[in-house]
Amino acid sequence: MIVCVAVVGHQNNPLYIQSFTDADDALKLHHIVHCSLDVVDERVNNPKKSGPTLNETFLGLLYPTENYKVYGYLTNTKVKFILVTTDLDVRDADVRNFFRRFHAAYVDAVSNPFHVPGKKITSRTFADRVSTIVQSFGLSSAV
Amino acid sequence: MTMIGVGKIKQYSNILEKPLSKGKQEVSLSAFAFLFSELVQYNQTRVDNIAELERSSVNGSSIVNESNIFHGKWIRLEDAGYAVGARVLELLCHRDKVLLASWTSTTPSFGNEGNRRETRLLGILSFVHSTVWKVLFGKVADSLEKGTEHEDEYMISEKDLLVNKLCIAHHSYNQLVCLHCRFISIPKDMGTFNCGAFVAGIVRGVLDGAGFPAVVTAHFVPMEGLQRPRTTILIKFAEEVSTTRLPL
Repeated sequence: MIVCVAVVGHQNNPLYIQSFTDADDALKLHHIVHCSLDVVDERVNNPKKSGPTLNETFLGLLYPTENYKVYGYLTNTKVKFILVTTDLDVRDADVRNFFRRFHAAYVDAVSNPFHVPGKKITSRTFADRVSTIVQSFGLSSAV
Repeated sequence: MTMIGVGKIKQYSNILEKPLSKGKQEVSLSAFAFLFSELVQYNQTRVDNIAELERSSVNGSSIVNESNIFHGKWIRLEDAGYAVGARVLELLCHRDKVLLASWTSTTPSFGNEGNRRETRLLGILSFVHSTVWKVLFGKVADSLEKGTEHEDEYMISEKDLLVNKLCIAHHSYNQLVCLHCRFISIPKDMGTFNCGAFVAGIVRGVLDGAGFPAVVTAHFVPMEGLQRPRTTILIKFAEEVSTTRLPL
């Protein structure tokens, strides 16, 4: 179950944070997203030779905490997408698929001429699309 | 979107056999010319009004003079281009990846955007020179050169830049010759205004988004043997961009 998705700009400023459960404290989710940014920076600056090759956009599992798994994705403009989920078994292909669709929604939101780059994304269409993607996460078996 | 003057339509014997079109990726030249001329005029009136405002509110210390107004027009057109460039970069990165992923299961690197981020200077320059130009104008730019005087200067040249094809400039008293007549005419008192500032802004937007801050300007370069001067986009990278690979 996806708990939270976040879009963080290239100066680590939050552009969009949305949580999908009422149970958990929103602040705690913010904190988790914030911590994962450090992991992203470290992953990008010190590439592992044996790991995924350099400049890969999908960063994979960033770090597991007590209940959550955090996945990261980096676009070419250094905008980061963070996904926080409580699922225990999550397929890699599902997450990649999720990020692909999320990236498409993000590109559409940013192409809006009234959107100021660097400011929060306020488009309701974007929010609706994101909730659709989140709800269909893990349900479809097609990759 | 590329610009077309005339389209070619394939004739199908039976209308039911026609494939469902996914829509044209092109925009007609006249529509774009209209839009661009409006953009130029909008910037022109906008800057004049601001100049008036400044002059009336601050009497005495008026630093607004004619050259500032021209510079202002130039900056505004370039800013419009910057907004386009930033979005074009996002779009192209996503689109290329989607295309690659759909017909290969593993994604080999083409040295281009694909699944990877470009961190090398030459890489991003060739990306602008070929991919971006192809998406915007339907063809690869004419040439990409490295400046000889400074280490961090590069030039992309185009014999017939689209936005400048749309303009004619009347310059009787300096070395520029009259450009071919199309849709927009630049009066003499606008001096060295170059509609290529819009494309310069697009390039600056793409480079900035990719993490290579630069100052980009457009210049006319008169060439022997050609009736119209060549348009050159001059890219001067900021100091923090070294010529070797960028860490991030």
